[in-house]
Parts: sequence; C-alpha cells; structure tokens
Amino acid sequence: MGPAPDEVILDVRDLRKAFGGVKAVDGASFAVPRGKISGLIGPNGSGKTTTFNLLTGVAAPDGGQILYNGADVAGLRPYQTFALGITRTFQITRVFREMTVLENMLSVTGLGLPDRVARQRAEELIAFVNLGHLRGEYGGRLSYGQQKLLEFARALMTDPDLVLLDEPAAGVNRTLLQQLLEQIHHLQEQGKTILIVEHDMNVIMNHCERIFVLDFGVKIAEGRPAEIQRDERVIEAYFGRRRS
Amino acid sequence: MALLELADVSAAYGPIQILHGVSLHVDAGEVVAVIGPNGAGKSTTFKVIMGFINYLGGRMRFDGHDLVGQRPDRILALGLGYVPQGRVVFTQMTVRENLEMGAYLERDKAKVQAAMEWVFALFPRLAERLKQQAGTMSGGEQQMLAMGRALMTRPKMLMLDEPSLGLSPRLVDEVFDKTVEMARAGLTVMLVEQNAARALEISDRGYVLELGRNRFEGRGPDLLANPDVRRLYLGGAGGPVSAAPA
Amino acid sequence: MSRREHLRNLALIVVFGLALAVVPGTVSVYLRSFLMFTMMYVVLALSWNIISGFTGYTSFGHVAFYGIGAYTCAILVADYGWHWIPTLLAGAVVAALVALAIGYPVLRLKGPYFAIAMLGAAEGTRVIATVWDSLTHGGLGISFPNVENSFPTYYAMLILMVLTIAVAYVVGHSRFGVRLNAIREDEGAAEALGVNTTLYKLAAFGLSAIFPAAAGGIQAYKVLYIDPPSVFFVQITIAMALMSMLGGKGTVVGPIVGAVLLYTIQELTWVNFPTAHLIAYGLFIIIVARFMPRGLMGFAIDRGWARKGMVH
Repeated sequence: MGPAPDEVILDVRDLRKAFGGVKAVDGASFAVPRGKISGLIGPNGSGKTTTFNLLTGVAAPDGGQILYNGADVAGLRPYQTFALGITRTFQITRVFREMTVLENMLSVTGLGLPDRVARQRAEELIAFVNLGHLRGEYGGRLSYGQQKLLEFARALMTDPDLVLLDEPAAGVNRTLLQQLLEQIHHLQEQGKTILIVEHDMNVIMNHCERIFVLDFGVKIAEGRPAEIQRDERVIEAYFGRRRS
Repeated sequence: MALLELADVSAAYGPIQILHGVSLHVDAGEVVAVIGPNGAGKSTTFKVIMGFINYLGGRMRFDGHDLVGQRPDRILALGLGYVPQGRVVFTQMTVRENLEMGAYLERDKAKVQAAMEWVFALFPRLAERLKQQAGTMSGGEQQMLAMGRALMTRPKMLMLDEPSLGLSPRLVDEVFDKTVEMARAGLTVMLVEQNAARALEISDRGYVLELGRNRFEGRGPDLLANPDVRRLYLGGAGGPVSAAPA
Repeated sequence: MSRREHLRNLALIVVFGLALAVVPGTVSVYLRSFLMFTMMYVVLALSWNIISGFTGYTSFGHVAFYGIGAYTCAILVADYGWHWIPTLLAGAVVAALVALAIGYPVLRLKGPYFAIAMLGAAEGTRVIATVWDSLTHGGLGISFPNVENSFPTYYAMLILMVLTIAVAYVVGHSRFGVRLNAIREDEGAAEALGVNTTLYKLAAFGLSAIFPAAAGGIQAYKVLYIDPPSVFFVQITIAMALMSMLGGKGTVVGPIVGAVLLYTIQELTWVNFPTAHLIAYGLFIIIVARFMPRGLMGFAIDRGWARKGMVH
C-alpha cells in the first residue's frame, strides 16, 4: 500500500523520454514523500540523469505525468517550476562567475519582496553557509566548495518546498560534504522535502529515508537503505549480471 | 617481470586528488580487470598511465620503461594501446581513415597495411565497411572501430576503458567476446569496467578500487564469488556517517 | 549602494550634463560638432551595452536601429511635415517594435550565431531602405528643408545622453540588471532561478534599440540629408562595440568612458595622422585588447579602484 495522497509531494507516473531511438526513461514511476529526504539512484545509463532533467524542466517528457501537489508540471520550463516552489542545484556548480556572491543571491526572481527585505534574506542565507566574508567577491573567484555552498544558498532564497539536489557530493571534500549534509538535514527539519540524485552510496544510504532505484529507464526497487542494500536486483544493476 | 607495473600511484584532476597510492600489475598474456563503484578512480588509472592528468607520485613502468612524465605519443610507441571511454571515433572520417589515423606514428606503409590486415582478421566487419563514415555506424560497430584503431600500432598491451558503456546487452556480449578473442591472439588486456560481473568473467585477475584506493585483488573467479566485493557497490562496507546535525 | 551614493551619482550626471549645456555658445563650430558626436557615441555605446554587455548577446547589427530612427525622422519631417522632435519619439517606437519582432526569433540563437544574424538584420534594413523607395526615396536619399539647427540638435543630443545614462544607471543597479547579467553568465542557471529569459532578453533588446533610434533621428536632422549608406554604416556598429568593450562591458561607467576616450583618440589620430590614423587607431585597440581584456573598468576593479559587482 502506498503513502496517502497528501503525504506525496511529487508523484511521478509512467514517465517516458527517448532520444533518437534510445529510450532513456521508459515508464518510470515513483512517489516522493513530503517532508523527507529521498534518494534517486541508478547505475550509469539508468535514466537517472534524464529523469532528473525531466523533473527540473530542462527537458520535456514524451509521456507520463509529474504531479507536484496534485498538479501536472511535466513539460513546464524551469522558471515555471521554480515559481511553483521547486528549486534545484547543479552537479557541476553553475554560479554566476562575474557577479558577486550577493548578486548571485539577488538574481533569484519571484520573491515578491521589497529590495531591503530581499537583501536581508540574502545576507541571512549567505551567513547560513558561512560565506559572509565573501559577499562582495566574484562567484568565479570562490573555491569549488564555496561555490557549492553558494549555489545551495541561492536555491533557498525563495524558501522552496521541494529541493532537488544534483550530485551534491560530486567533487567535494569530506569536511564540506559533512557541512552540506548538516544543512540538508536542517532544511528537512524545517519541513522541506529533499530529493537527492547521487552516485556516492554512503551519502545516499546514510542520509535518505527513502530510496528509488532506476535501471534501464524504470524503477527497479524502492525502500529504506537497508532494504535496498540487500536487494538482489539492485546489486545486479550496479555490479552487473553474469552472462546468461 | 610484469609488463605493466603501478606502485603507490597518486593522481589528481587539477586540485581534486582522485588516486591515493594505487598499486597493480599486469603480466604478459593476462587479462586483468579494474573494477569498483563510481568515483573509484578506475578510468583515472588509465589517464595517469597515459600522462593525461596530474601525476602526483608513485612508480609506473611498462615493459621496463619508466612512464612518469612521458608524452602520450611516446607511451604509445612503447607498445601500450589505449581505447578511451565512449567510442571515440572520428565521425567525419571513413573506417579506413580512422584506422590509418591509428597508425599515425608508423611511416612504413607496408607495416601499416600489415597492421590493417591483422585488424581485419580480428574484426571482419570493419573490412566490410571500409568506406563507411564512422559517424553513421552503430554503437557496437563504433566500439569495434575504436578498438581496431588502437590495435593499428600492434601494441603489446591494450587498455580498454569501459568498453560496455552505453551498449545494449547483446552488443556487450559481442564486445567481451572480441576481447577474449584478442587475448587468445596473444594480446595482454587491461580493462576498466563498470559492469563488474562481465569483466571478472573474462579476466584472469582483478583489482577492486574504492575512492582511489585498492580494496580487493585476486583471481577473477574468486572476486566474482566474493560477497564483500558486491557490497562495496552499494555502500554497505563503509561505516555509517552521523546523520544528526550538529 | 546606499541611497546617498545613488543620489550622489545622479547629481554628478546632472552636473556633467549642465556643464555640457553651457558649452556650445562658447566654442567653435568644430568643437560643438565634436562634442555632439561624442555624446552620440556615449548613447550608442551605453545602449549596445544593455543587450551585449549586461545580457551577453553581442549584437553586430545595432546600426539598424540608428538607421530606423534616422529614416523615421526624415520621412516624417520631409514628407509629412512633422516637427522634428516628435519624430524622435516615433523613431524610438518603431525601433522598439522592430526589435521585438526580430528579437523574438533571433534571441534564441547563441553567441556568434546571434551576432551574425544581427549583422544580417542590419544589412537587411539597409537593403529595405534602398529598395522600398516609395517610402524611403531609395538611393536618392531624403533631404530636409534647410534650417539652422546646430544648437537645437546639440541640446537634443545632450538631453538624450543624460536620459540614456540615467536609464542605463537604473538598469545596471537594479535587480532587473542583475538578472540580465545572470542571463549572460549562465542562461540555464538563470532559468532555474525563475528568470523568464525570453521576456528579459526581449525587454533588454527593446530597451537597447530606442536610444540609438532617437540618436539617429537627431543626427539626420542635423545633417539635413540621409541615404542608406550614410546611416546604415557598419562602422557605427563596430564603434559602439569597441567603445563599450574598451570601457568595460557590463558596467555603466565603462561605455561612457570608452566612448569619450575612443572617439577622442579617433579624432586626434585623424587630425594629426590623416594617412596613418586607421593604423594608429587599430594599434591602440590591439594594445587594449591584449592588456586590458575586461576593459578599463575591469582594470580598475582588479586594482581595487572600483567595487566588484553593480548591486551591493
């Protein structure tokens, strides 16, 4: 039996996307529970990245639905899903390099706040990620880790309900990763929902309550970390199957 | 003496260190697999051997020659062949032209022709498609072409980087069959693979890397049967990181 | 930047404007003309900067809008008897509409493709001006009734310049400007932060078209005769781009400084080295491109003489 409707913030139904003749996503379905940290994993070529792009509006699906709080957001452009309360970060940081940290924060739209209040919020978030001393520095001059933090803070400007993190652990050292993870848990305690796409299994297994595993464009397993680690289909997806 | 030897090798991409003291060796005539979960540094191993990335330390020798600091074309001339990840072929060129590019270092036309004959013997399908533009070939055929091209220098050892990547199961079979065929023809093969089961199936020995370090090594069948190796892929072997915020 | 700093800057602009206002009566005809051209180039460089500097869509066809403004003024004055000042507004409106019309398809193109498409658009408007002779008098050009207009056109250009500076200033220091910069830096990331990039690009493009159009109208009226080659002059586009880049694209002060400096140098080399002036000019550009790729403002920011970023 699945979760009750209002407990599901993002209901992905039979999502499909093909590139040329290749079916990258072939009927993927999963329901992301509200207020929890969930993980979306899968080996290379599983369709995980394409699915993420479909959820964030970077690409439009060929079929299927993406129900956010009941409304279908499939095919909407990123700025539209953003306005509905979904934000995302990028695997390789995409901070605005020739703009200051503060300007990066203020580039966000839809705040509906007067300048002074927006600025205050930006300063608070910059402080939250410990980048206060760099508020006037160009984004491009920050270290990679600092850029990750900036991108994270930037995604939080609108106080979104659903945060999609694209490989937050990529290229990040252990200390910074720990900091990021603490902040992620902090957000979850505030009632936000987080969906993490990751390769780093330790991050997924130790921080996600629910995990969805994709392979060949469909969901092959879902459950709690311990269940997933024991699941033969998942092990096979990652380790490979012997020749039949 | 091993044909290829890496002892305590470290390497980085710019500021990010990927390999932390990796050691392995490949003896002549062997098929050796290097496997491990994402981020293990498998492909990076090949890249540091070829001199493409920042070498930080350790010993690397091939056929008695020191590889450290050598230019890639010099390394190729020593008899090391390399098939990079992703079926890299010159899409605008024909099959023949791709193969000729593979023999770029060889001036002697007769030797180039002989190499091409040898490649055709191993990959008859390439002989059939000499004039075809590489970009119009299927994924599997492109992978064959990439391998054939690497063989044009008649290397002593071939390094295959993720040969099964992006290929359908049937094509994966073909690629691994060809690899076994090449090994039987006397080629020493080292392959990096994400499809660990298949790679170990055809390998004499294997190394399992995790986060840029050696974790396991042993004979192919032994690693295949070892449950700890599988668990590595899903983070089961690592200790839990504290989930509670400070 | 605080309220006080903004007011101080705007006051500076007004003072600067007033200084230029008292000048014309006291100087030679040549100098008056020189100042007027300089002011025109400030207008052009700042406008170009809005779409190419802030938004990052490098336009090599902005002269099209200048020409549209010139022709609108000429046609309405010479053929319909309008007073010249309202024609400037009309020209701005026409240019804005044309900008939105071409912008919609063309702003989807990236980088060099956009630049070339705009080059094509500029050439296209020149050809239309030549061929649609029932409207534009084609190759014959349009003559205005002769009138003494040295002072009125000077003041019109001065007011236009002050207006352009004010608008560029407001855009540059607002969140609207921050989002334009974000589009330049990384359009995909900007979209992921809620920026409707199509809308913003069109707005910037339209805004960047109206001031050159008005400038074109003023120039046309000053010179009292226009024809397609004289107003759709590709060198104008090159000049706007160079001035903006020399001064520092993406800033407000940059294009102003770049326009003044480059035009002055251009005039000096032309006067003093009439045969070699293009070479001297070219050399100067190469030196700047080599040693100050982010323009003079970039150089100043690196040295700490100016602050990083526009919104503080």
